[in-house]
Amino acid sequence: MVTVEDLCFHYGSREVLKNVAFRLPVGAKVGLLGPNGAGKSTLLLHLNGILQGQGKIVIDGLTLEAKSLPQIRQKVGLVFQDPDDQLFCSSVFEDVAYGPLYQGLPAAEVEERVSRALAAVGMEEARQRSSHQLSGGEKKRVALATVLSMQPSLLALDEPTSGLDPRARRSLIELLRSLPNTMLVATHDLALLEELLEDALVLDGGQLVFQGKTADLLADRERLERHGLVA
Amino acid sequence: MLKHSGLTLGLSVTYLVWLGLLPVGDWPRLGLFAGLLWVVGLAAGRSPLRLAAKSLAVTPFSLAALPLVFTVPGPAWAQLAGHPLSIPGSERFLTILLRAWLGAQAGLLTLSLLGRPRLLLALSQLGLPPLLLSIVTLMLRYLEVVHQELTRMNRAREARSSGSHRPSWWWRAAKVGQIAGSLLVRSLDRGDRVYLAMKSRGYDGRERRLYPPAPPRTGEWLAFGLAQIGMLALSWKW
Amino acid sequence: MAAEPRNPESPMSLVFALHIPDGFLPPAFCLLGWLLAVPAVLWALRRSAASPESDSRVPLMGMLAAFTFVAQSLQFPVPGGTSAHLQGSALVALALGPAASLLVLSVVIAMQALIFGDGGLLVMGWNIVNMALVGALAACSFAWIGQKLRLPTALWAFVAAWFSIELSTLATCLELAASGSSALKISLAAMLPAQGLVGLGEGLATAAALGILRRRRGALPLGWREAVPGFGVMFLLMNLLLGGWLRGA
Repeated sequence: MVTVEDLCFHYGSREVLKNVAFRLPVGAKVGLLGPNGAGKSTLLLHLNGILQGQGKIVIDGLTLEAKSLPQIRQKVGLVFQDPDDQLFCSSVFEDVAYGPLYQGLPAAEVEERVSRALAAVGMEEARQRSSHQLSGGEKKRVALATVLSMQPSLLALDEPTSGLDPRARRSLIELLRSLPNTMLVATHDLALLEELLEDALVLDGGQLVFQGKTADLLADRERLERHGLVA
Repeated sequence: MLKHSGLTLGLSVTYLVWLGLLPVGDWPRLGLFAGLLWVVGLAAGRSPLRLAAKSLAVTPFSLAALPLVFTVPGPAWAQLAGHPLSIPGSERFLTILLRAWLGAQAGLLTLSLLGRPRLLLALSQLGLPPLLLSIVTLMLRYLEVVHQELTRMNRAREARSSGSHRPSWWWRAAKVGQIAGSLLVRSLDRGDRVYLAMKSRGYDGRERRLYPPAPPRTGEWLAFGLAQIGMLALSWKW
Repeated sequence: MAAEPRNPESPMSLVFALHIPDGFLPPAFCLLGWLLAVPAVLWALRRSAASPESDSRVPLMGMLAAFTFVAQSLQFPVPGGTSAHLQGSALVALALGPAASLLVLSVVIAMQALIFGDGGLLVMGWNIVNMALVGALAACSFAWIGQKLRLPTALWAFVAAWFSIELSTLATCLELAASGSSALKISLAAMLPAQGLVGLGEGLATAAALGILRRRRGALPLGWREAVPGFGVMFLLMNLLLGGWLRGA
């Protein structure tokens, strides 16, 4: 239900993405790996139309183009690496309500969505708190809630476990496991990959160099080293 | 009591205006205004003592006015190191100090009554343009974040510093500039990322509110009006 | 209501402070400050909304408001023995342009007055005029000249920041004189040299900061439209100065 065909993107004279093409079936949890600078974050930013390159992206049957951007942004929930960048309102409630609010939903529906999203991430009691009062793990959960409230088809996460202590990391993995959404997770965390993400894409130098089962990738030590996934 | 956030803030602002309009050296009226504030604070369940103590923190800013004690001409009441301290000058300085102290208490009381989210609501109800409201909201949200960045930068610098001190003023100024410059770049970079996050959640340039700001009820307007008349009466030269 | 005693006195008190506290300027005169500040802010709001990337500016402005607050806690020594806080008007103006920086600085001044009591509330109109209007706009004008003459960035940034401080101080002196609170020649003699020294440090800091900004993100291109308001303000200030001086105020 997510199709990417021939995606190319230039930044100045540099070719950041070259002919990237893949397909994500509904409900799949897929890892996106690659060394730093490979283009992972850039790819994620293409999925919701923040960056626009050449090629075709189809989400749930809707082709990404200028006039479909608002719907695409609702369908693709992008969770950024630093939750402080994503929690920019004065309270948790306002942040989680932001997406539905800008979708133009009526107040009652917005409230309902916020409650459900906060419940899904286990942060209902933080509703009225300010974001800066939360711990790192709590911020990541609320950041997730801010996109869940938009009821996206695809969740695109950029390094969700970075900066978390083992306990917070564990509870985040469990949380992600419990969500039914299709997921594309950019990560360096091979343990996360192994536990949660059945399929994997490897990006190196802007090109997709592997598409397949995680188990196969992790078994291929030489490939892991070649693309800088293990030291 | 007053529930409407906008009117509460408006009341606080008008209090500060009336306070600022009091003549210099009018100790009885200053006392009345202080009493008014403390009574309101008590009625709202806040301790005047704590308000007063916490507000002492702002008094150093009034020290800019201290030289008035020496410079305003008039009869002297004391001498300090050969310089006469004039009565009008001292009255002026003391008035400025007391006003600042009371003003800070009013501000603190308002902040404690409203809390940050309702403070922002109050600003929008008072007609603050949406763009300015967004700037205020973002500023309050990221103040600590930027402050922590600065602390981290300073710690990293101290860890790297060789210990050889070049205390020349121009070198220090340039160093401050480097810190400010790095902090500026990081702030702008973060601003860009926040914009991406906003756009990803549907931001289209229009500032939206979940609930339209409710106008005050008639009773609340009445209470506000009465308060103004009261403060006018306190200030009037009978 | 009694007016403030109109004693001409030395404004020594304001020598190192750009934030005027309440009590220095008579209330009626403060009203004039608001009559200047509010239209300026409205102008800046319209300019901001009309600019092509107005959406993306909002988070930048909010972030720089937080930045200004924090940056103003930075201190540098001033030749002569004291130290001064970074003022930042010029830096913010050179990073955001005149309209956006006016809004950011106004918000910061308001918050500082309301939360910290730094700067009076009645006199806030004048503080906004001095720091956000005069300070920021003049910096943009000098930067434009510097860019047009292809001078090194560090040089025009230094000059822009120095003039930002001096012109803000000049405006403050003119306000003190116009309101009858202080004789013009006395306040100029007391404040301009002292703030001139502070301006040296501010200039160096701004030059250094802008250099880093330029290297990492590129400098803001300033067109004549960004420079004109500042020139207008400076022209007005010079006229007032001349008028005040000739009248022997």
